[in-house]
This record gives sequence, structure tokens and C-alpha cells, in this order.
Amino acid sequence: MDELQLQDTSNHSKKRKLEHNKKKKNKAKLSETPKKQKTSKKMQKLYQKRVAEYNSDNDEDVQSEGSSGHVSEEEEIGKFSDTDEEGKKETGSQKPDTSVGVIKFSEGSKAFRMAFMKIMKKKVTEDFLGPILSGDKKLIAKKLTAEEDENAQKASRKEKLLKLNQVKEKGHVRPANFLDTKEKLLISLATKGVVKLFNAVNKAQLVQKGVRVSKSKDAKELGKKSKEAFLAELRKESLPTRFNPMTSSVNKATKTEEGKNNDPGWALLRDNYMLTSSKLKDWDKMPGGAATAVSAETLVDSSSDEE
Amino acid sequence: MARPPKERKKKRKVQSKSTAKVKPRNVDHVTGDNIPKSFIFSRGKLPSSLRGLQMDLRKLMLPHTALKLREKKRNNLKDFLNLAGPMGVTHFLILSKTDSSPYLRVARTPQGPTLSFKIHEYSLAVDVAHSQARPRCPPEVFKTSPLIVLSGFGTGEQHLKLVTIMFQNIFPSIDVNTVKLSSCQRIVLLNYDKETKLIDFRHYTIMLQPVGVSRRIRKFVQNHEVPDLRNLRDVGDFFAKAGYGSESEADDEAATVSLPNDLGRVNRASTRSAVKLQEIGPRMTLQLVKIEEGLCSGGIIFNEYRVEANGDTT
Repeated sequence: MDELQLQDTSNHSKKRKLEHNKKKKNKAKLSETPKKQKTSKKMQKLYQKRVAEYNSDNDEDVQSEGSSGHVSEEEEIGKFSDTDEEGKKETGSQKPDTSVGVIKFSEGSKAFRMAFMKIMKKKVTEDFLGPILSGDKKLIAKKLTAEEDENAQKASRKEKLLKLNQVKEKGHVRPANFLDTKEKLLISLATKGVVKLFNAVNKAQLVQKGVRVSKSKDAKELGKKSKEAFLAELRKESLPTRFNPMTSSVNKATKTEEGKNNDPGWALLRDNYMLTSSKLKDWDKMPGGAATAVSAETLVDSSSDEE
Repeated sequence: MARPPKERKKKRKVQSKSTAKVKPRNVDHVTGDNIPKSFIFSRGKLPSSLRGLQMDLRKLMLPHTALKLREKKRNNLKDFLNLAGPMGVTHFLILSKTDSSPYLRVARTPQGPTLSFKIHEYSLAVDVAHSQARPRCPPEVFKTSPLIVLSGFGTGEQHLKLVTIMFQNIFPSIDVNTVKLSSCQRIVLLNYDKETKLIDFRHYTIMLQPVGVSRRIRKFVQNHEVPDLRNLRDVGDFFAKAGYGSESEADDEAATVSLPNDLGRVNRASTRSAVKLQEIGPRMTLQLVKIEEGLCSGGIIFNEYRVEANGDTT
């Protein structure tokens, strides 16, 4: 028997490690059904047998049973001579004090049973909170009141902010998308003002323009006058006799436009234009002087044309 | 540019770009008067929308104001006064806020009278732009100072006269003979309503459009857009197509001017052009509350809420 036991233990040592892990998994997933694939038929039968044998009144004997169960299991296994690798052993370890997380299945089930019975024994209170598995009711009550307070605070803060914003934005008005009558009135007022101003500017500046033009004319005349004087000097030496009518006509041209009637300054308008070549009368006598006189005259005429 | 913080307090747009821009002169070379300059700042903590209003007012008063004037909590009125002297600043516009409403004070430095206005309603420039279908605010509009139009102030009351004089002096005067119409691009309107005693403050841009020219041709010339001639059989159709003018053109006879010079590509001299205004900038409804002799001090010349000897308020 002992030999068998030893053999079996040696055989089962590896299996036990496997079973360790599986036991851990099983402990974690107490509620889940164990994987049926892994439990062999032999083991199932073993379990069924144990269930039938199970007697809650013999709590104290569970441990001893457990240890004896070991032996019995192994005996049974030995009987069937099964070397299942997936042999599911209930007990995780022979040493119960190896790790905290791993306890005997029987012990675990016992603890669960006790807890369950306690809960079932408890009266179901008709509180609105419902059955509470954890915590003190007082704690819950505290939490709720704290939440309510917070909400109340938040609401009051929001109100304050709203009021502040109202005060801040007081007077800030967003204009409408359309032009209402008042705005149209104001725009028309402003337009009238602008039009008045522009007309005034117009008047003033057009008048100015006219003045400026005449002013500029005078400037030109001034310039011309100086030019005439220079040319007159030139001509003086060459044509002393013909100088005077020329200069007089040119002078008349420099006067304002009113003086055009009597003796047009513009050579074209004179009656004796090109007909009487008074300038060229004595051209054969004084070729150089005549040429200069003619050139000066043409110069003068051309400048008066530009007027 | 690393400048000590004290200097930054005095920093003006002019100083920072003195090399690039021409400094605005203190004296107008045409009229010979001093160009009035202004500082716009606030007393006390302002909520964000009022700070927006302050910025809008600064833009309005360009170019003769400090756009980026920085003020610290510990600056008093005295500090601003000390700055104002050497810089040639003539007016202060001070914004403040109480629980009841915001206030605007217009004061003449160094010891001129102070007008206090209560702002009943205001709208920012962004609000106005949101309310319009086609908001337009080209930045070059702010390069010249605005014109000012005062209406409804002619009732003859003393305090109103003072208000008109004050506002006329804030903006530089224009000489009718020499002003270029292209430089008049903005207008500020102040309208006084006798019954409600409220002053409406509006700010517009001026646009000129030639009259009698069909819309398509005008747009074509102005915007350089190539028109869509798909549906036309002849180029002549483009010009001859009878486009009905917009409904506002009909009642604009009074609003047309003939220009002395050409303005831009479209408006030619000696043809009628229509004047069109578009609102930009802040909108305010003001009520004159108090006039003081000094700069926020001194005797009270006028008080809206005058308390009679027997305790009645008017």
C-alpha cells in the first residue's frame, strides 16, 4: 500500500503542480462550472461519490477526511490503474500552509456555505437602498448627503456666475441682422453730412482749379516774357526796325484773353499773315539777321500756339 | 526689442516704427493748428467686452492715438498726465465700469473740462460685422482720421454746445480747399435726441460708386473679374443688357456728388457718384451725465441728476 502510495505520489507530483494551477484557476472562478473536458469520467465518478458521502455535520472531520481522502483517492486511482494526466485532485497541496490564496476546496466550500447561510438568515429590510452586501448604511447615507450638498453648491455657484455675467455684460447689445428704421435714419443723416462736405470741397476745389490754371498761365507768360526779352535782345542787334511791332504783338498775346480782339497775338489770326512779308522784306540785304528774326518769330509763335 | 518695462509703458506705435513710417506731426502743415491726439484707457478692472470696446475706440481714433498703450494697475491719472505733456496729447477718453453701467469720460488735458457719459448700450465692431451680410473693413481705412458729423445739437443749450466743441476738437480739422477726397474714408456720427436725451454714436466707412453705370460694368472694372459670357451671343449684349438697378439707387438722388477729381478707377471727375456708407466699428448710446471743470475734478458745471434745494431730483 505504501509502495503504491509512494509510486502514486511520484506519479502524481507533476500532476499536482498542474492541479495547483488549475485549482487556483478554479478558486478564482468559483461560480463557473469546471471544464468538463478536463475531468475524466473516473474523476467525475469520484466526485459524485464524494457528494453523496458529504455530510455537513461532520465539519471537523473534513480535514482528516481530506487527508484520508488523499489516500483513498490514490487508492481508488490506483485501483483503476489510470494514469490520467488530467487527474483532478481536489486538494491543492498536502501542506495547507504553503500559500494564502490556495485553500482546500472543502474548506472553501464550507466558508461559502456559512456566509450564504448568514445572508439568508438576515432579514430583508425594506429600505430603498436595497440589500447591501458591503458597507455600513450610515456610510452610504453620509455619501448621499455629501453628494446633495455638492450639487446644491454647484447650483448656487452657477447662479452667482450667471448674475455676475449679467452685470458684466450689462449694456452689451448685439445688433440685429437687418437695418431697422432708426439705423436707416442715422445712415441717411450721415450721408447728408458727407454729401454736404463733398459738395463744399467740390466747389472750393473747382474754383481753385480755375484760379490755379490762370495762375499757371501767368507763370507761363512770365517765363515767356523773360524769353521774349532775351530774344528781343538778340533781335535788337539784328533788326532794330522790325523789333517793335513784333514785341508789341507778343506783348498783347501775353495779356489776358480779353485782349484778343484788336490785334490777335497769334500770328495766324493777323490779317497780314504770310501776305506781307514785312519781316522778310529786306532778307536779301541781311540774310543772317532775317534768319534769326524768322527763327525767333517761329519760336515765339509756336510757344504762343501751345497756349 | 528688449526695452525696460518702464519705457514700454510709453511705447506708442509711432515710436516702434519710427524708421519705417513717417511720424505724425504735431502741427498740421495746412491749417497750422496742433493736431489733437488722444489717449484711450480704462480705470479699474474691465470685463472682456468692455476691453473690446476700448480697442475699438482706439482703432476709431487712429492715426492720432496710441494703439498699443499699455496701462498697469498702479498707473494713476497723474502718470498719464505726465506722459501727455511731452507727447502733445490733448484728450483723454476714459472707460470705467460700475455695477449699474459702464461710463465714458472725455477730458481735455491738461486741465480742461471733463464730460461724463453713461453708456446705455454698446455693440462691438465684431458684433456689427456679424450682423452684416458683407462686412467690409479694409485696413487702409484707418490711415486717415475720420470726419465728424454732429446732428441735433443745435438746441442752444450750453452743455450741448460744450459737447459739440469738445468733439469737434478731438478730431483734426480739415481744410476744404486742400483736402483730398480720397483721404476722407471714415465718418463718425453723433446724433442727439431731444426727447430721450441720448446721443447715438455710429462709425461708418465711406464708399463712392458711380451712378448710371450698370452693375455688371462697374463690377467688371472694379474687381477685374472676367465676366461669364457663355450665354451671350454678342459682346454688345454684355453692355446692353438691361439690368435693373438695386432698389436703393432710386432714392439716392440727394446722395450723389460730382467729384472734382478722379477717385480710383471707377469714379471719374464731373460725373455723378453715389455716396454709400457702411457701418463698422463700435456703436454706442450715450447719455450726458456730468460736466466737470477740471480733469475729473473741479466744480461741476452741469449735472443731469441735479438735486434741488428741497431735495427733489430732476
